[in-house]
Amino acid sequence: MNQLTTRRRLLKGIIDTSMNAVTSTWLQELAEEFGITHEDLYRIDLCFAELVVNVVSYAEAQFVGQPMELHAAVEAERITLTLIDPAQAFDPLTLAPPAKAEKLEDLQIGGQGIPLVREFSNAQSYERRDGKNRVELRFDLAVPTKAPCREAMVPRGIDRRGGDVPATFPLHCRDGSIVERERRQASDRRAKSFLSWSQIFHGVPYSDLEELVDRFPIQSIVGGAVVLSPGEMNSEVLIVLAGRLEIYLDQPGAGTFIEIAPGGCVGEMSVIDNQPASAYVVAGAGTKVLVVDANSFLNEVMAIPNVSRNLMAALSERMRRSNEQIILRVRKEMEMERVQHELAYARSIQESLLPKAPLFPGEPRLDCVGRMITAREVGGDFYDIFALDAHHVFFVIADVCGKGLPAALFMVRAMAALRAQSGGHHQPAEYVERVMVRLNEQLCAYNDAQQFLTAFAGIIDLDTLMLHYVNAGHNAPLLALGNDEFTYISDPVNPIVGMIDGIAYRAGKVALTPGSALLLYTDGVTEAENTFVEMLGEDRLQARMNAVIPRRSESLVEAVFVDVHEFAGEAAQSDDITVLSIRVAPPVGTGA
Amino acid sequence: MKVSVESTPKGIARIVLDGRLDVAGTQAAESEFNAAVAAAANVIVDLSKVPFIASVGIRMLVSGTRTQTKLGGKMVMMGPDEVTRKILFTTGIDQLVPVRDTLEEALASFG
Repeated sequence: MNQLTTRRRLLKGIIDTSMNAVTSTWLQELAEEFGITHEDLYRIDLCFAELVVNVVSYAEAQFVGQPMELHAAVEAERITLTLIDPAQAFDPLTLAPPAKAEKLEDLQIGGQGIPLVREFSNAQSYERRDGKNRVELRFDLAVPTKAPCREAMVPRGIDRRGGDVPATFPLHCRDGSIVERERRQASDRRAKSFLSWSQIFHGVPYSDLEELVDRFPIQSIVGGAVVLSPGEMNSEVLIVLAGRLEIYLDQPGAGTFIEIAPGGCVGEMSVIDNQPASAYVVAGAGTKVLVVDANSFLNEVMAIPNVSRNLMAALSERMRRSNEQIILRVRKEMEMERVQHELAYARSIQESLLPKAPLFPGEPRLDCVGRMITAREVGGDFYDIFALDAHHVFFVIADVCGKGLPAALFMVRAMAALRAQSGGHHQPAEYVERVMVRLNEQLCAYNDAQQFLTAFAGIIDLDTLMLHYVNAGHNAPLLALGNDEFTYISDPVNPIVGMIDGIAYRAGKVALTPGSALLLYTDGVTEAENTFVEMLGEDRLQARMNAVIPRRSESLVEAVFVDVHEFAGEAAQSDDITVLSIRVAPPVGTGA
Repeated sequence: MKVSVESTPKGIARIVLDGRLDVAGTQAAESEFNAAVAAAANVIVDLSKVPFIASVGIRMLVSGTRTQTKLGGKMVMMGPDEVTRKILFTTGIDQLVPVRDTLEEALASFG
C-alpha cells in the first residue's frame, strides 16, 4: 500500500457487548469522513457486526473486558479493516456454514454470520500473531474515497528540502495508529487557549504553553471507544479539550464513573509511576484530546512552574473521588446480595406451589410424575394436577412468555385462577373449555405488560378413561395408547392465553386405554440449544421417549432431563424445563 | 427501535419495525415484536424502515415465524431495501418466509 495515500484510523474498545454499538458509530463517522456510500457502509457495518458478536460470544471468561482494536486502512478505491482481539486462538472463517434448511423448523440461526461476512466483503483472511487473533476484511468501494482536507496540509517533498520543518507528520503512534496533524483551525486554537484555564495548567501564562503545546497532536475519539483498560501500559497523557473522558472502576457502562471534563487529564499517573492503567477510560460523545507523550510530559510539561503543584492537587482530588466511588460500589454489592437472597427465597416459594411428589400416591389407577428446573431463580413454567372428585383428574402444563420475575408473577396469577375454578366437570369437554375461557378472561384483565402464556389442560375420567383436552398454543404433547408408540397430538389448536379476550376455546378428546401415557412438556425441552446453536427438536424427543422401557412416568421424566443435559453439553440452560408425565395403570396382572 | 402494529384488510396485522436490527435494536424490539406476532395468526412484517439488519435481527424475525406456524398462520416480510434483501437471500430465509416489495403484493400472498 502506498504510504502517502493510505489513511489510517484506529478504534479501541474492549471485549464486551458495548463494542457493537461503538463499532457502528465509528464506521459511520469513517464513512462520513471519506465519502463511503450507504450501500458500502451497510456491507462493512454488517460484516463487523457479525465478527464482533463472534469474538464477544466465543471469548473465554478470562478475556472479557480486555482491549480489542479495529484498524482501518483507507485507500482510493478500497478499505481494509482488521479486527484484533487477545482472546483464545479462534479463526471464525473456519466455522462451517449451516446446512440449507428445507423446512422452517430446521433453520439454524446460529452460524449465519460468517456466510454473510464472506458474501458481503471482497476478501477475508485470518492470522494469529503475537497472541492475538487478526481478522482482515477488504472492501472494494463503489465510489472513490474523498481526501480529507487535512491531507493537503502534509508538507510535500519540495517543502521539506528547506531543512527546518519542525514536526514530522503524520505522527506514528506507539500503538501503530497514525495521527495526522490538523493545520490549526479556529476551533482548535480556541480549544488550546482554553488550556490555560484547565486544571493542570492553572496559573500558567498561555505564552509559556503555546510553543510547547502546539507540538502535540489533537485526537478525536468516537463516543464509547475504550481508550484505556486495566492492565494496559500507557505512555501518553491525554488532556481533554472537548467532550469528556469517563473513568470506570468496574465494567464500562456499569453504574457511575468519574468524569474528566475539558481541562482535566488522564494518564498522568501511569506516566509518572510507570504502572499500567488501573481503570477503564471511555470517551464521551464528541471528545477531543491533546496527546502528550510521556517524555514531553515528564521533562517539559512538568518542569513548568505551577504545573507540578496543580498536578498534585488534581491527583488528590481524584483519589478522594475514587474513594467515594469505592464506597458506592460496596454499598451496591451489598444491595445485590440482598436481592439475590430474596430471589432464591422467591424460587423456593414458587417451587412449593407446584404439586408435591409423589402425585396421587393412594390412587392405583394413575402413575404421574412432574418435574421442573428453572433457568433463573424464578421461572414462568408451571404444571398442576389434582383430583376434582373420586373419578376425575384435572391437569395443566403452561409456559409464560419471558423469564424471571415478571414471568413468575404472571404464572402465580394463572395458577391461582386455575385452582379457583370449580364445579360442572361432569360435562368434561365443556368444563375444560370453560376453564380456559375463564383463565383467558382473567389474564387479559390487568395485563398492561401484554404478557401471555401457552397451556395444555385436560381432564381424565378415571372410569371411562376418556381424555378431554384444550390446547392453547402449547407444544403438542406425546401420547402413547396402550403399548403403541408415542405420537404428537395437538388438534384442535387454539390461540395463546392472555392476549385477546373472548376466544372460544375448543376441546379435543381421546379414548385412553390401560397403560396409555401422556407426556407433557414446555419448549425448554424441544428448544434446548447446544453449543452449535442447534435445537433438540421434536423428532429426537419422540425417539427418546419411545426408547424408554418399561414405560413408567419416573423413567420417562428422568429420560427427558438426561437427554436435555446430554444434548446441551456446555451450553447454558436458557429456558425453564418442565415435564409432566401422566400414565394410566396398565391392565391388571401385567405387573408393569 | 420502534415496533408498531397497523391493521390491514383481511385481518392481517402489519407489524412496522422502525430502526436498526443490530444487537441493541433487536434487544429493544424483541419482546414487543414477539408479543405482536403472537397476537395474530397472519402477519406482515414491514421492513421498509429497517436500514440495517444483522444475523441477530434475522434470528428475531425467524423465531417470530415459528410462532405463526404454531398458531396455524403465516408470516410475510415486506419492503426490504436492496442490501437487506440480499442478506435475506444469502441466509436462505427468503425460501422459507415469503419476501415481497409492496403491501399489495404482501397481502396478495395470503390468498
